[in-house]
Amino acid sequence: MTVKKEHYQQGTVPKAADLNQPYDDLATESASVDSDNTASGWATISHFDLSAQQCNRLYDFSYDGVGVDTIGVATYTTVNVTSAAEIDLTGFFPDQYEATRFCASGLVRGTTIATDLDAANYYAFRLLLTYSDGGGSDVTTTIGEWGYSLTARSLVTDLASGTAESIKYQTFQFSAVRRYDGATGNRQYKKLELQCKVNDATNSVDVSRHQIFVVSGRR
Amino acid sequence: MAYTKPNAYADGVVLDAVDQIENDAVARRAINQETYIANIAAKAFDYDDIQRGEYEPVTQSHQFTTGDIYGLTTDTNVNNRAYFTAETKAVEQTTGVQYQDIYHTGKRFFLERGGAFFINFGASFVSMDNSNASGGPGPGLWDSTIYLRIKNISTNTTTYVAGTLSYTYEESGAVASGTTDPGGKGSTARRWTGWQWLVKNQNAGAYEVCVVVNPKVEQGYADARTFTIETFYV
Repeated sequence: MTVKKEHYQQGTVPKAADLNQPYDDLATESASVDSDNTASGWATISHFDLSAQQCNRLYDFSYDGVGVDTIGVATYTTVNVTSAAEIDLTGFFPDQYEATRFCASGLVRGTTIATDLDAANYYAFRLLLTYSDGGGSDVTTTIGEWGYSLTARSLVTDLASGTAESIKYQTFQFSAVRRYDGATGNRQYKKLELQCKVNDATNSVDVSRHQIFVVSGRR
Repeated sequence: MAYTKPNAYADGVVLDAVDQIENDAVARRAINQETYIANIAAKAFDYDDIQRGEYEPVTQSHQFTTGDIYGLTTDTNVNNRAYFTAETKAVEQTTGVQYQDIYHTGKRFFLERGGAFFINFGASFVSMDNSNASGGPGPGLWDSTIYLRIKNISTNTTTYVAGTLSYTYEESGAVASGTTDPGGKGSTARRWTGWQWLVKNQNAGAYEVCVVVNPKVEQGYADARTFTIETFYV
């Protein structure tokens, strides 16, 4: 910011244009403040125009009721209590090296267990991301998988040996970060889904309230 | 607000001291207080220009005064138990409702603008066996309900967030006597309870958040507690 001020010798009659100059300069410069006259750490939240430049990209899908989606298949299927647990990310073009966080949590209310031995004693969730590069066809990638047991591994001491009991009303919670290294504007994230499966289709789990969440700090 | 000169000088006119003082006063106010969003040049600043908050080691909290993430508090207690009990209820221990704070899982914070906050919570809950003493509820795989409670201090309203509903179960009993069945006493012991929840569309103002439990056991506790608040202006 440059604000000019004229200095006069004694006896010199000042000119109106010179007297107006510092105020006119200030009026001009104060309309477009830049880093010339600011210290680091000066900006508060009041200085952000959140309607034009949001600090974050933020997306979510939430179901907070007590209904359930019974998952009893051994291939991943999108959780769907009243509607599919998915987020429409259309228009999300990550910048190069932009890191995006993907989170999910929820509650498994009930379980039905016909087979509880070895690998059968297992159910899992995954977050599935759909994207396209350069406007091409859609591609899916697994952000991560997280597994849980249907029964408790340890038993209380007054139960008979080998008596396994199901774990009901158990919370699940996980998150992962994915960084995009390609060129800015090339990749478009399109959809994120919360999916679930059981390892043995004779078993099933009742997925209840859940939320998936995507956040990315704008650069 | 950009500065606007109140008085202009003209050649041949005697300088008016009042006008001069007013020009300077308005300039001073514009520089000190009135630089707003519209006055800031596009792309002239970087993250270094954003004010950062302070870490408070006594309360183990970190408060960002502004920025892309505004308020962040984190607390982890591995061995320090937060006890709860149904003994303090004025009416029947399993039907009466009294939500008790799980300490070190709560914080007050202030939203300068409307936004959203994201709570990340985890703890290991233990609900110990009820006694068979006369007058007590006795063993019954009792389910104590856990919620995130939000108090909007500005409007004096309290919300129990349905999306954070979870349970801790008594570790004794032949059948489930509560409203939910944990699956048997073999699966109740020392469960990890964890959830994340995004609370959206909140107005500017002061908030107090805390994880609470409605106990149905004579003695229970949560340890290995971790609790984080992230606030987003979107």
